[in-house]
Parts: sequence; structure tokens; C-alpha cells
Amino acid sequence: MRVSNTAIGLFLILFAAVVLWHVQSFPSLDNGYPGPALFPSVLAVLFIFCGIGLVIQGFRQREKLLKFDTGTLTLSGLLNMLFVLGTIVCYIFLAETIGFLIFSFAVLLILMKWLKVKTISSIVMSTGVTLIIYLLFAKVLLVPLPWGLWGW
Amino acid sequence: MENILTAAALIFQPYVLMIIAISALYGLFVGAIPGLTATMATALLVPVTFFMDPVPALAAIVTMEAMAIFAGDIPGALVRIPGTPSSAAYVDESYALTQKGQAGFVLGVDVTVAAIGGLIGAIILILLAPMLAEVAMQFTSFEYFWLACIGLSCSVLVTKGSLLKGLISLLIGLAMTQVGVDITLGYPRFTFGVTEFLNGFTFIPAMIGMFGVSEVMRNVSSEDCAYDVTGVQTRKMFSGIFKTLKRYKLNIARSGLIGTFVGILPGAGADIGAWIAYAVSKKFSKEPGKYGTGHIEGIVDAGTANNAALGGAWVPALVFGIPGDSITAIVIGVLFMKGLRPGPMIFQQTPEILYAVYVTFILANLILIPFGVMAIKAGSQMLRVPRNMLMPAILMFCMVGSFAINNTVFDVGVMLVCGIMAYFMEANDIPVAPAILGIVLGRLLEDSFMVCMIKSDWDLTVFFQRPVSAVLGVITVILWSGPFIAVFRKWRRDVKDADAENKTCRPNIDDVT
Repeated sequence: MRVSNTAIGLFLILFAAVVLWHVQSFPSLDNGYPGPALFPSVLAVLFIFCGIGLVIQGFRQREKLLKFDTGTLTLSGLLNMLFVLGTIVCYIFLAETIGFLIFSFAVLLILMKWLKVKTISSIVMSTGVTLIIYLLFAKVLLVPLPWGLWGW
Repeated sequence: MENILTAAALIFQPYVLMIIAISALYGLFVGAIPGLTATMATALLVPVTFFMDPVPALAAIVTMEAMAIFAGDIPGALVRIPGTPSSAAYVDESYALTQKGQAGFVLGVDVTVAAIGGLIGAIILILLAPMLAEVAMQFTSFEYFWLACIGLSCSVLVTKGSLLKGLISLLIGLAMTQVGVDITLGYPRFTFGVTEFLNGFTFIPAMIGMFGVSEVMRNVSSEDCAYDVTGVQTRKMFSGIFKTLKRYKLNIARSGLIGTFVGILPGAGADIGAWIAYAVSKKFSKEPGKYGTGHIEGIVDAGTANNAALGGAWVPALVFGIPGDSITAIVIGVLFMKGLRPGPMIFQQTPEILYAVYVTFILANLILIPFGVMAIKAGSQMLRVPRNMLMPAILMFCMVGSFAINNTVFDVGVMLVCGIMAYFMEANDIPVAPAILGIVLGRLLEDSFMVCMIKSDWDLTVFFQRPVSAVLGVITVILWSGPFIAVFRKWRRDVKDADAENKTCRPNIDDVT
């Protein structure tokens, strides 16, 4: 998914401006020398230079300001990607409630079915991967997984 | 010598050997699947190694990377798709030979030169690192500041494509290190009241996001194509190998050196090493016309260089704490998290870690041949594993790995954001490698600068007062001015061309008037 150089450049400039405005609130050192604000400010200024560079490049190449080129990305590809991102969001909000074993099996199964893997392969893979991760982290490395309300 | 024996004793234990064997298989598998890179393999391995002792953890990573970089050649030869970017330089050449029915021979040469290249890199690492460490013992924050500058500048200068985008990537990485408590006053910057941000971005989830999640996104967004795989005749794989090795022994030595030294350059790793070795090979070859039509010489060169680069990358990583490639960048970040600061001090304080890396490098490259042959035999089967089945599994591993480090879903959020960011960066030709170096070196850069400034009461000239520091400073300035000089020269040439054009045009104008 490509956006125009001009748009990226403008975004960087905007971002840097917000940073520059925000660091005004940082305290300075006792003798008045810059302290915590110094590096963020330097980076912000460099971001602005780069942003200007990209905007100039964009104008030279006569790009449309809001080029939104999906390239080879198809609609189903985009949906797959959103599905993957959705899975991560689900993990953030649900894994600690549902517990790892159920969550992992269910999510893997749904995701594989969505990606058109055969049902039997999906069930075998989901079970296998869930068990391997469980054994590796919980039993071998002794790292806690999200256990959920029922303790698994 | 005593240290080497101690390290060998640490490595040759059933537990560590088992870990080495498992990581070898893991590396071969990941390397052989197109779309899964060695850097991604490292990012996924890190949550597991994080909970191990340093010696087996480093052994696992070293073995895995050696195997993965070789295994990238397998799909290159079989289906003309590089398994990792490091094999991209010579896929066409390998595939052309496969079409002549020589797949077994190509892969046999690949695995042999990979092992030799890996050993050359390892030997240079073993010889060079202690010598450089002697020098590095004298370094203070002034020198470390310049070293960080040189490392970061190199990572931008070696990027393929636009320098401007390389610089933007670096700035993104540096900006990420600004989150958290600052060194001078302990002031919480850009935390917006979130306690988890006080220590900055959690490194491992960020890496898993940038290399794991973004890769999964890219893979599921394109159609899963079935590869048309031809089988490999492995029986006579090694016949004629010795003749080839003997014929190109100088090429192997040259590319081993090129690979290692490219590896040493911060930010440039195995992939750039292979491209350069291939180009050099073609330039100095007696038969440059045969390149691209299935000529083994270029494969010998590039195949040696990419594995040699791995050892090279560990030189600056171990001696200065400046990563030589993305893999060592991740390793350094993890060592930092474990309280081990790479640098000359580990040569004195924990030499066993160092020697363990040396011993593993040698061991990994020796077992590369039997393991590699196994992988070549299984090559066509590995390529038949559907990607759509692998991606959900990798995604689950990413999430669990990010969660495991601190046991908080906040880190999974960090992973998500970094994954989306890396995906957009790559989709818009902004390379990711400089950002990783920025994340790893950002704090070192700022902290050493601030410490120096406060020590010297804000006198900038102190950076040039010590002789070593002055030399490093001058190198940095030269590196920085390079692109500007190039732009200036191009501008002058353009002006001259324009002048010349004007002059040729003028008589015509005169004629008209």
C-alpha cells in the first residue's frame, strides 16, 4: 500500500511540529542548558528537513498529493491482513479472560479456515501448534501464559 | 586456550548440543521457506532464548543464522525464489543450472561454500575481535559517541535506494528510543502517563512486530501460490565438487574476505555481501559472458560471501556493541535487556560468552554440511507446506512471545503498532534495517553525548580533544559530507551540461536574429 512521498513528507513535518511543541514543556538543566528536550528537538528538526526533502521529491515527480496505490494488494488480501490485525487486537482484549489454550486453538482454527486451509489440516495444526507453544513456554521455559478465568 | 576449553566444555553438553540441533533444524526450515527471513527467525527465537542462559541462547542464534542463510539457496535453486534476501543475488544463476538438470550439483556447491565461507568469517572474527578489543579498552564516552555516529551513518549509507528514506528510517528508530525516562533529569518523556512506557518501548515485542507481524501481513496479503517443485538428485551431489572448489579457490578466499568485511560494516549484512561478491566475481572473471546463463563461478562467490558476512557482523557487535547487521542488532538489544553490555569489558568479565560464540560458529559451520544435505533432500517437501497454514502459527507465536517477556498484553500492543509501522515503511520503500540500528544505538548515542556535555560543561570541542576521538570524529564528518559532495558534484555536472547545451544552441539563435 503506497502513499505519495509528498503525503509522507507532510506527515513527518506535522509530526515533528507536534514534537517540537510538546518538548517546550520539558524542564531544562539547572544552568539553563538544554536537557531532556535536546535530542527530541534535534530529531524533530531532522524530521522536518527529511519531510521537506520528500515533499520536493514528490513535486518533482509530479505526484498526486493523495496517491493511494494499493499496488498488487487485492480486496481479499486486504481482508486477510485486517483479519490478522483483528486477531492481535482480540489477543490483547480476550486472551487474559479466555485463557491461552482455548483462545489459541479457537483463533488458529478460525484464522486457518479464513485462509482456506482444509478443515482436517486446520484442526490438526491448531491443536499441534497450541500444544507445542504450551509445552515450550509453560513446561520447558516455565514462562506464564495468559491463564484466563478457568486457569487454562 | 584455557578459555576455549572452558567454552567448549560449556557447548559440548547434551542440553546445549540439543538446543544447537533444534535451532539448526529451525534455521534450515525458516531459511528454505520463501517469505520467512533469517532476521524474522531471530526475532521469533528471541522470546525463547530470553529465558535461557547466555551460552545456549547465543549458540542457538549463531547456529540458526548460519543454517538459515544457506537454506535460502534451496528455494532459489528449486523454484527461482530466494528463501532469504541473502540468496537473491544468484537465484537466476542457480535456477538456470537447475533447468540444465544440475540442481543437485548447485546445492552441493552451495552448502560446501557456505560452510567454508562461514568458517572464514568465524576465523576472522576470532582473530580480529581480541585485537580490536585491546584498542576499545581505551575508549571513553567520547569515542562511544562517535562510534555510535559512525555505525548509524553507515547503516544509512549502505541502504539500497533512496538515502533520504534510509535517513527517515534511522530517525524513526532514534525517535522510538526517546520514549521513557531521560538520563539527565530522569524526566519521563513522551510517556503520556502510561507507566509501561517509563522504561521505553519494550525491545523484543518491537522486534517481533517489525519482523514477524509485518512479514505475516505481507504474506497473507498476497495469493498463496503452489510452487512447481522439481525433485533434486542428491545421490551424486558432491561429485565434481572438489574440482570446482580447486578451480575457484581464489574466488572463495576473495569472497570470504569481502563477505566478512561487508559484515563488519554496521547495517550491511549477508545480502549486501552477496551482491558485492557477485559483482566483483563477474568483473574479474575470465568468462564474464557466461554469467546469468547458469555459470557456477558467481554462485561460488556469492554463496561464500553471504555466510562469511555472518561472522563479520559479530566483530563490531562483540567489540563495540555496534551491530553489524539486523540479526546482531537484535542480539545486542537482548543482551542489554539481560544486563550484559557488549563491548571490550565482556572480553575481561565474561570471556566464556565470547568463546562460546567462537566455538559455536566453528561447530555450526561444520555441521552445516550434514544438516544442509538433509535439508536439500527435504527441500521439495518443505516448499509444499502451504503458507496459509504457517502464517497463523507464526502469528500465534509472535503474540505469545511478546506477551511472555513481561507478562503483559501492553507489549502485544507494542508489537501490533510496530508491525503495522514496519509494513507501511516497507510498502513505501523505507528500509527497516536503519531503524533497528537506531533503536539499539539511540540510547547509547544520547546518553554518551549528554554525559560528555555535562562533564565538559557544554564545550563541544572536547569531542575532538582526545586523539582517537578526533580521528573517529573526522571519519564521521567525512561520512556525513559524502552524500552532500555527491549531490554538489552532480549539480555542477548538470550546470556544466546545461552550459554546454546553451553554447551549442546559441549559434542557432544568432542565426535567427
